[in-house]
Amino acid sequence: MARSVRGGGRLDTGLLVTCLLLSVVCVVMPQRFRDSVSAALRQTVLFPLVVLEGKATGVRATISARDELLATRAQAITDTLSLRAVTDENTTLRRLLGLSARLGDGFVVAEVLPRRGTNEDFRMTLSVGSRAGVEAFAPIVTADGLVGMTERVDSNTTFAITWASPDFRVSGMSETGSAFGIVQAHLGAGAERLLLELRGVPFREKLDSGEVVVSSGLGGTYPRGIPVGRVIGEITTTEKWARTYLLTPSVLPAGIGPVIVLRSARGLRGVNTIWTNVASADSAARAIAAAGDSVARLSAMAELAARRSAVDSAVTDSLLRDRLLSTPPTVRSPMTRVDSARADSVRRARLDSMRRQAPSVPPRTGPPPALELR
Amino acid sequence: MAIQPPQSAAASAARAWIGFLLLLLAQFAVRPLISARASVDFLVIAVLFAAVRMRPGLAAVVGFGAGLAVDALVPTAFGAAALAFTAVAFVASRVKAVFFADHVALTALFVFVGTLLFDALNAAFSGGARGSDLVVQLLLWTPLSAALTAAVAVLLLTVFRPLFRPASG
Repeated sequence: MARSVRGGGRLDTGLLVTCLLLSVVCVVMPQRFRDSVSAALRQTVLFPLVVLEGKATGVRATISARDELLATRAQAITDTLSLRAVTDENTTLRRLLGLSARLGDGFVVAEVLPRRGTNEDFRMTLSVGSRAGVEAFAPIVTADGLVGMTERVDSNTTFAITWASPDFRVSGMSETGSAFGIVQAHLGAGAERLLLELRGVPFREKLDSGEVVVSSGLGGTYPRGIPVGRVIGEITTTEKWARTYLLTPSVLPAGIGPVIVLRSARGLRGVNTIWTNVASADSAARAIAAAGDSVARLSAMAELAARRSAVDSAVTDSLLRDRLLSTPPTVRSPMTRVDSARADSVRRARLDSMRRQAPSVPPRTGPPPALELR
Repeated sequence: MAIQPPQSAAASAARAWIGFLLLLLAQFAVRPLISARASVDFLVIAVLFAAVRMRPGLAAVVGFGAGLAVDALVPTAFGAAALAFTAVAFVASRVKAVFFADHVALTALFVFVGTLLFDALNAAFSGGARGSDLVVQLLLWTPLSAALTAAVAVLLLTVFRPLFRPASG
């Protein structure tokens, strides 16, 4: 028994020593032998394991690539959304720039400050105040139309209500001026809360769906011609003697970015054609760019001056001729064509007689004399 | 009290080799999927579980073969893993009576020490990491790998008990 144990121990030791020696030989053998031995092992005994490891590594690479793909896709979506936001803001600013150009002067541009409380759904705070010229009860507009009205004005801050406020009222009319009424917030539930209604329209007046409602200018706060909303349809109310229409507001809450506060002087001068006559804000932007070009402005002024001088000289010549002839300017109507020959002969005879009586007028070579037109 | 039927030595050896092959496959099929600085070494578990069922000399041969397989796939350190696995397998087979009792904590400790020893020898003979890298490897990543390997070994021993537990008696 002891001999077998000793024999087993010798065998174990021998195997251990052999394996250790082989391992040491593997460690110390030259590189090319190592490579050839390892290559032979990889291509024969270990080939299935090499293939298995390669496939597992491929699966891992696929998983990693999918993660990267998802991350890239998420980044692309984020970039697209931010790009869209930037584009929208750019469009809004361009349109506001166009509106500013059309208004010319008498307004204050303001930023809407972030909401500070939960009860500010229908109110907003502007970044400018009385120092910038903002007045209380002044209309607030964007390039799309009416936003609201200023309420309280501090030196640097303005508090305003939007059209969605229950306190908001504006006298409105159809764009054609055929129907008048009072526009106020539609106090419905849910999404309908963000609609307007035009109340008190005479029963005989009917508005079509899609018709634009603008401020009528009555009441003095809002000048005539600011778009307020667009007719959705008529709603039934208890007022049987008048119609009430539901309107989509011209300025949606999400679209309120930078705004313009109109000053009272600008309102008195009227804004009737600001939103209606100019087809596109881009043209206004181009006009701004052209106006900013001093060379273009100078050439335009020179052309205008030349036209004025030409018109003046023409008027001067005719007045001078009329004074010299002492005859009132004749307006020839088509019906007097039959007598034209006789009239010309009479005028020629008169001219001849004048030439004989009055000294001759030398031909004018210099600038026309200044004449007072009455 | 249930009496377990006696197992033949051939059936036990067959199950042991099946377990060894499964762990060998896991080394090359599963480990690349969870590749990290601290990863589970299924081959160490396979060699240790096989070594406790064998004579030390045969365990050394099995360890040498497993190490040679690892070396063949990493030719820059050819022989280092074979040397380390030979030593670890021989020692594991020698101390199996001490460590491989039917106790989960002792089994975990056995695998943990075996993995530490293998990594230390492999790092020493391969000559890949030197200086501070070697220190970080031996003091940080090797213990983490050993702990992870020990945890997986205990899990395997619990779930696949007939494959990896040596036949009693």
